[in-house]
Amino acid sequence: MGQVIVVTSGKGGVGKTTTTANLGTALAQLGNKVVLVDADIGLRNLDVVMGLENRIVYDLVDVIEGHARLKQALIKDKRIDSLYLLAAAQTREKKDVTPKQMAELTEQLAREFDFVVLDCPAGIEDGFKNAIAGAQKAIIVCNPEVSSVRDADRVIGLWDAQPENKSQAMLIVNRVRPAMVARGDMLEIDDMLEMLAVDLLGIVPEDDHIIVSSNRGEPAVYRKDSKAGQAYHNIARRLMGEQVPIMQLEAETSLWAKLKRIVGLSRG
Amino acid sequence: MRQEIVIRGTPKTGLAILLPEDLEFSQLCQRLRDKLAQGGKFFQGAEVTVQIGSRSLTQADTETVAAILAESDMTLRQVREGGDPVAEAQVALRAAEQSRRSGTLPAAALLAESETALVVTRTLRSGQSVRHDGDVIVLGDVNPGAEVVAKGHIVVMGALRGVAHAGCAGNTGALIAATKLRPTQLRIAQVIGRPPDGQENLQAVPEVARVRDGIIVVEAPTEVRR
Repeated sequence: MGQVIVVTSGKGGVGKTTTTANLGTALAQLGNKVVLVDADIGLRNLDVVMGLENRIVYDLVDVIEGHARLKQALIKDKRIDSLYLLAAAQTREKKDVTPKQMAELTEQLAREFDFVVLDCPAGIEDGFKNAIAGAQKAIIVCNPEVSSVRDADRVIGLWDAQPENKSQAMLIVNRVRPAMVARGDMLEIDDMLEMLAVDLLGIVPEDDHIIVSSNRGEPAVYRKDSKAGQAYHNIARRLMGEQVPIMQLEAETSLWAKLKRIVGLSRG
Repeated sequence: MRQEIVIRGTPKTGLAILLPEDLEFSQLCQRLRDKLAQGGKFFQGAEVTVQIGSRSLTQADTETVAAILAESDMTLRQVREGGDPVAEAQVALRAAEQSRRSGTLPAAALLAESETALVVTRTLRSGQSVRHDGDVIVLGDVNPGAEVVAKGHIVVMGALRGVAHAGCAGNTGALIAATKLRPTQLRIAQVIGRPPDGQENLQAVPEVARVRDGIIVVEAPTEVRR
C-alpha cells in the first residue's frame, strides 16, 4: 500500500500547489510510482502548473460520481512515465464530494501507487475536510510570516484533532529569503518551529524560477540551476527515509561577494 | 417557607431553634415538645436562641416556649426575629472573603474557595479554547488564536500568546501569570487590556497580570507577593 500524503497550509498562496507538483515530480524521478490529486474543486491549478491542462477529459468528480473509471481519468505526465495526475473539476463545487468518498478514492489509488499526494485547497472548510479524509500524513506548507504561521498552527490543531490515529504533521517552510532573515525582517525558522512544535521536513528558498516554471508548466525540479528545485529534491529524498542535511541558505553579504555580483562573476 | 422546626448548632450563637413561620402557635408548641423529646438528654444544659422569623410572639407566648425548653433542661437565652442564623453566618463569611479579595492578601491565600484547578498538559493551538469554572494551569504554550477562559486564576507555564480571560464570572481579584507573557489580549473580569503597540524590549521573565484601580497591570511575581 502506498502512502497518502496531503499538502495543506490553511493560508492561501503559500506554495501548496508548487510543493505538490515539485515534490511529486521529484519522487517520481527517484523511481516511485506517484499520483498527484488536485483536491481544490472549483479552483483547480495543479494541472496548469504541471502543464497538463489540455489533456483533461475526466476529473475527480467524474470518477466519484461514476461517470468515468479511475483509469480513464488519470493523466500520464508529459515527461515521466511513473507520474500521473487526477485533476479537480473546475465547474463543480467542494460540497459535491464527501470526505468518505475522498477516503475511498485515495485508498483505491494507494493500492496502485507508491505515493498519493493530495493538493489541498486553502481554508479549513469542506475542501480541507475532504482532502485530509484519506491521508495518513500531512505536510504543512508555511511561509516565514506571521499570518501564515497563525493559520498553520490552526491547521495542525485540526489535523491532530482527528479521531483516527494519524501520524504527526511535518513542516515545509517555503519562500525563505535568507538576506531578510539575516536582517531580522523575516521570521527565523527556529521561532516558527518553537510555536508550531512539529518536525521540519525542509526549507525552500524564494526563487524566481518558480514563477517561470509555473507559467511554462514545467516544475522547477527539472532545472539544475533552481535552488527551490534542489530543495524539493532533498525533501523527496527525506520522505523516502534518507537523511539529507538541510540546505544552507546563507545570505551573501560579504563585500567580495557583492563585488563579484556587480562585475558579473557570480549569479545573484 | 420553613415547615419544620429546625435545631442547629451555630459557631457563634450556640444552639438555635428555628420556628416555622405559619404554623399555629399551639401546634407549634406540641411540635417543639416532640422534637425536644426526640433529642433525649442531648440538649441538656444548652442555651438556646429561638429564631421566630416573621412571626411575632407575645410575652405570654415567649414564656410558654421558655417553659417547654426548661422541660428538656434547656435555657432560653434570647428570641430573635429574622431568618436563618446559619445562612446569615455564611453570607457574612462570604462577604468577608469578597472584601479580602480586593484587599491586600497575597494570591496564594485566595485559592481556598475555588473549584479544583484544571491542568492542561499540552500546548493550545490557534482556534482551540479551554473553559473552566475554577483555576486553570497550562503546562505548555497558548498560541495566538487560542483562548483560556476561567472563573479563577490562569497560570501558563510556557508562552501565553493568545487570549486569557481570568475571573470571567466577575472576580476582579483573579490573576493571569505566565513564564512568557506575550498575550494578544488579557481580560480579568470585565476589564480588558492589550500589550502596548510597537516592539518592546521583551525579556522572557515570568510576569503576573492583575487589576489595579480598574486597569490591568503587569508586574513581576515578587510585587504580587507583597
